[in-house]
Amino acid sequence: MFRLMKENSFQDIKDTLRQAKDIPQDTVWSRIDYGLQLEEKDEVIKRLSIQKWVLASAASILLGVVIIQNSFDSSESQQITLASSEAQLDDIYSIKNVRRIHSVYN
Amino acid sequence: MKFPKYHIEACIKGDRTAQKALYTSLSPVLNAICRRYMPSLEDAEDVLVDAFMRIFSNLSKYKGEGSFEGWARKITVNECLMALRKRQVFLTPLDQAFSLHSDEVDIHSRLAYDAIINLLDELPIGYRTVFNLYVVEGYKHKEIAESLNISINTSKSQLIQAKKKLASLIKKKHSQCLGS
Repeated sequence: MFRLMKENSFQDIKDTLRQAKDIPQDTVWSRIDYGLQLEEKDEVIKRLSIQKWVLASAASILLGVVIIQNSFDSSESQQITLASSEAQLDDIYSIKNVRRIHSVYN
Repeated sequence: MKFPKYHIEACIKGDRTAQKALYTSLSPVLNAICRRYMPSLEDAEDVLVDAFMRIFSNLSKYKGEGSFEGWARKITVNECLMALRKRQVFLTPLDQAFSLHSDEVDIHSRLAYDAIINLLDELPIGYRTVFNLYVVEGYKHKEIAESLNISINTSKSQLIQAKKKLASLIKKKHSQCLGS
């Protein structure tokens, strides 16, 4: 089987090794398959977390808009309330004035 | 071994049948590389799994320049070197062996693959790696030194020692064969 050669060439060993094929055990594919499944799961989780982040950002923006809108609405209604209070006061004053004038003349 | 573009694209899309087919055709060649570099079957198997995971996750980077098998071979060799580097097997310089000349070494030819692997298994990791990179892969000493983070002289001395050790192992086996 082993034959010694005098010249210093590794060509045959090189050729044998470069052309060599060594079928791995069946368990190797199972491990790769499992690894690929894990990677796919990671990818799905990553994609879902991105979607979640986008949704959360959109929800925060929407919430912000609603809050701002509400604050505008409430300040407007406060203005209306103030205005109506002023009108009521005016009414009261005018009634009081009428009463005072009435009492002066009577 | 040719891999059509649509086959590679199917693998990129995660088609498991295509991935298995790619594995079936490439694994004997890549396993032989791992077996050649790694000191045990278990280590070779671990590196082969890592190499395929890297190949599958980097398939989109293969631009069709050069053979696909060559690209996969390179990834596998790099995986082997990374695994060996983790063990820090290249830290011991062997410059004292540099006085030997490779011309002094008789070598053996036409060994069966298994017999060569058995011989490689008997070499220290450093010798074996440099021998593989220089003789089989065709790297230059400068490239080996950069890949393994060793000096050029260490690379040269490891190669000479590897050849010397191989030659003595072959002689030993030869005399055993003659004796039996």
